[in-house]
Amino acid sequence: MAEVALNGIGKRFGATEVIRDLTLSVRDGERFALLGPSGSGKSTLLHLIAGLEAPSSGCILFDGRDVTALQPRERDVALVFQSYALYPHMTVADNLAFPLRVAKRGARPDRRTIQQAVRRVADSLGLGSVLERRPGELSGGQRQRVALGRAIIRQPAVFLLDEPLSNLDVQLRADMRAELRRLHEQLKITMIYVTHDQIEALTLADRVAVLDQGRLQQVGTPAELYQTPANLFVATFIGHPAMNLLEALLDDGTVTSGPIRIPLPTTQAERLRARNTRTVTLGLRPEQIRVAAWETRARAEEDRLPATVREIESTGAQTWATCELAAQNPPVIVGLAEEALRIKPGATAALSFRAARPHLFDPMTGLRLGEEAS
Amino acid sequence: MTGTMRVGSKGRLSEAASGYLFVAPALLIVALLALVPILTAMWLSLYRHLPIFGITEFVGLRNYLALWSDQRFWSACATTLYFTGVSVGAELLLGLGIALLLDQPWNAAGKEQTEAERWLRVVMLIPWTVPTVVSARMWEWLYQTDYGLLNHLLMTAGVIEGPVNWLGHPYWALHAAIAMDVWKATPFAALLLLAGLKAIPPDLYRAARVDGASRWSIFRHITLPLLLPVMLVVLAFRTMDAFRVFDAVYVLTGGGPGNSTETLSIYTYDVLFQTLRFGYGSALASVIFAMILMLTAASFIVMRRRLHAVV
Amino acid sequence: MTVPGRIKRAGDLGWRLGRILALGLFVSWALGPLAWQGITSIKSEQELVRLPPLLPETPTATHYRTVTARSGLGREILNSIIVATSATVSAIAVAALCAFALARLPIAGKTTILSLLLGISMFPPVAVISPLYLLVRWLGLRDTLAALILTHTAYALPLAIWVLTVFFRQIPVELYWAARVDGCGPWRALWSVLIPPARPGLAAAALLAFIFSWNEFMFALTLTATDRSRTAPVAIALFPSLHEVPWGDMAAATLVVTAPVIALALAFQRHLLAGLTAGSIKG
Repeated sequence: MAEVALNGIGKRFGATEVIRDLTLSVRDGERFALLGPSGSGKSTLLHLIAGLEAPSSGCILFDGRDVTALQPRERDVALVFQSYALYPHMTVADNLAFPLRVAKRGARPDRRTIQQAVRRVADSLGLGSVLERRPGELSGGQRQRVALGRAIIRQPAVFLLDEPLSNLDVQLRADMRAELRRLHEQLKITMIYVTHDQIEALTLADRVAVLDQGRLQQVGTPAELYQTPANLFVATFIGHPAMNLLEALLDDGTVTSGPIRIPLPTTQAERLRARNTRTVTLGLRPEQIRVAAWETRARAEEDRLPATVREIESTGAQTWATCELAAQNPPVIVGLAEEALRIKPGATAALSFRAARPHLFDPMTGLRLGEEAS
Repeated sequence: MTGTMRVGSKGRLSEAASGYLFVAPALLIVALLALVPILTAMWLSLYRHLPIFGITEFVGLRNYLALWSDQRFWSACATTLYFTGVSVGAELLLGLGIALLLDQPWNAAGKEQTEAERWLRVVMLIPWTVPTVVSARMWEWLYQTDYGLLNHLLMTAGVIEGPVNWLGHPYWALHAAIAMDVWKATPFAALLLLAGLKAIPPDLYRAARVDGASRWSIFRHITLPLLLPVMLVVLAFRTMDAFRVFDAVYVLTGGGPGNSTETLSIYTYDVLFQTLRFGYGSALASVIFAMILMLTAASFIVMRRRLHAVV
Repeated sequence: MTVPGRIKRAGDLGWRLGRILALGLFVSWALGPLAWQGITSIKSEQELVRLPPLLPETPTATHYRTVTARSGLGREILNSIIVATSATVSAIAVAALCAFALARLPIAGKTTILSLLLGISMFPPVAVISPLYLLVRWLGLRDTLAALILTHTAYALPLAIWVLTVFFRQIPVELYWAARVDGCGPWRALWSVLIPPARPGLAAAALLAFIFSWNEFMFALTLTATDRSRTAPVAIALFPSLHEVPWGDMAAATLVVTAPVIALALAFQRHLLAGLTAGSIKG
């Protein structure tokens, strides 16, 4: 168990700067996700924490101790690779035992201890029956469990995972998520994992750090990231379907975008009064926009705007409608369809807005306006 | 166009027929110029055939019996085995060293080779492209007693006092020949081993580092076992070639001094074209072939077993 | 072996220096003998027999003049060029056909054929010499280039077929199927659709065949008798017809004979390397 702190980390490969001035800290025993699109530097960050690469600038601390100059074997970390990196010429048992066998002279346990540890880990991960097989003979799920086993057998302080769920099919993913939660519960270990899949990040982590092109965008709990994204990138990266972004104007307590008018809560309006420019980017999550059939009687006191339905996308539990609103920039909006069956492409629908606290962003900087960003 | 593949219609040959037609020229040429002579040689080995005297008589296995008690044959055998063993061993070791030396780390861009490495591979390849005969002459010059570079360098370094007649000394001549063969053939081993090294996924190395293995542990537990298949391929091919060595040694020493560097092929050549005993010479050749077959079969069997263990 | 992403530490400096030293040793070991040969070839007669100095004070081109004169190696080199080129062309043409069939067409006995080829390539050439010699004489081809061309073609085939089979197998089978569906017979499919992507493999096999033929010694030695058909390696081997070996001339001669193959290797190294590695991925 350890607290991991990264201070001012920068990394460049040749002339390419892959990570810029990154500072964050992971609490002891936390489940922490590094989320970002490919090329955002997250795997590199993981390798830096593990000690496989050295940062070009900045330092890394484990429990306050500077480990920047230490080799992986001196850091007491474990890393589960996306490819699992199982040793193909060794049996499962040998793979599991490897970290114990190659430990430094003084710290190496004797054969019996190693065998017992292998047994213990194998049983806890359900690998007892495949101990004598080679990785090539195992299924994807089994291979991953061997990789996990090899990582935890040393009981490391920090547990790193690179895209742990991306190679698995949907059903296995759910199982593996549960497995990882169970392991974390059991070992009470600091777990840092990297993913490009927001579902993976949001469902498994206590806190998430969003990265884009080597820069930290925001760190917070999944709820924080979803409800109060710090900038446009986070706002659009998290949430599916993506947040609608509209050009809008501030107008004394209201934000208007074409025919859309949304009143702002007083606290938010107050904070924005000081702002000199009136142009903002308005962000509305699809579920904040309701799409109903035009014929349906409107609830009282609700502004309804007519729009043409372009496409319907149903995920079973919910249906999303892409609509076109004339005189709007951009003209296309995605909203949550009520009465899914009555809304068809080409028909006219009524859009109503349920945005108590709309998301507002500065069009130039992309930063969140009118609230404290987390 | 057509939805179905109507093979064999419209007078076109079926695939299989075309197949046989395609392999025919190759098989024909090989049969005529390789297979027939080989079989003829084996058949000749059962005869006592001296064309200049016009003698051709069937003697059955007499030639082979004579072989058994032929001192010179056994001596050539020993020489060849020694040559093969030391050469191939040295080539494997040196080849491995060179391959390890040339294996650059993958940089972040994922480029597999740097410019430097490409050039080093070319440098490595050059000894292999040099004709064996040329190589022999070249080394003959290096080994030259009075004006050779080797003696000069060794004397300057104080390793020896006076010039050594490398090629005139039975013990040293054989080793001189071995050194020459190693120089020429190591690129082959190094090349294959380098390819084998590159085939090892870098994630395995990373995982081992995180698991806590030292450089040596990584080499011993990961690199070597995964290189084993390639090493066995190199072993098999180089053994086959070294056993049959003729060109280089013939030009370098002619089999001398005395018979100290006379390999089996050189002895056979001597019997065939110096003493013109075609029957006996063919028996010799067949025996060499049998020995190579056994050696190669043995190495393939070992390879199969090992490969199953690794894969 | 350098492990990926190795962190640079003070201790690593030692590794890097050691590595550079080792690389230097390696390069001098690989190129040294040839370099020495080159130096020798430009030394005058008197300087040849004096060591030190290592480098020539008065470089001379006499050796090269002697060697490249019409009466010198010129004829043999020309023969080598003719033989190697012809053998390569015919070997590759025949091998490509055969390899394609082995890779893609449904014929029986593929493993038998490949094993047979492997077996033939294992036979000691020494033994084949005598029957081959008799065959060549019977065909009336003794001391002709044709004999060598035929022989070299035959003995280059096994390796060429192996290498080309590997390369053909690597081309996606869908290409062949698409060509068949489009109406091509196997011959047309091979020619129009499969040869283009196989070009690197063909180049590799051609290089291997050329180098084999150029460097081939034993057959060239026994099947030829006079300048009419002698090739370069034989000339080099028979060079010292006198008592004293003319080392300067010899050095020049060896370099002249080696230069073409080295030039080829340099120009086509990628293909060559691909061919060598493919040739060993057997079975």
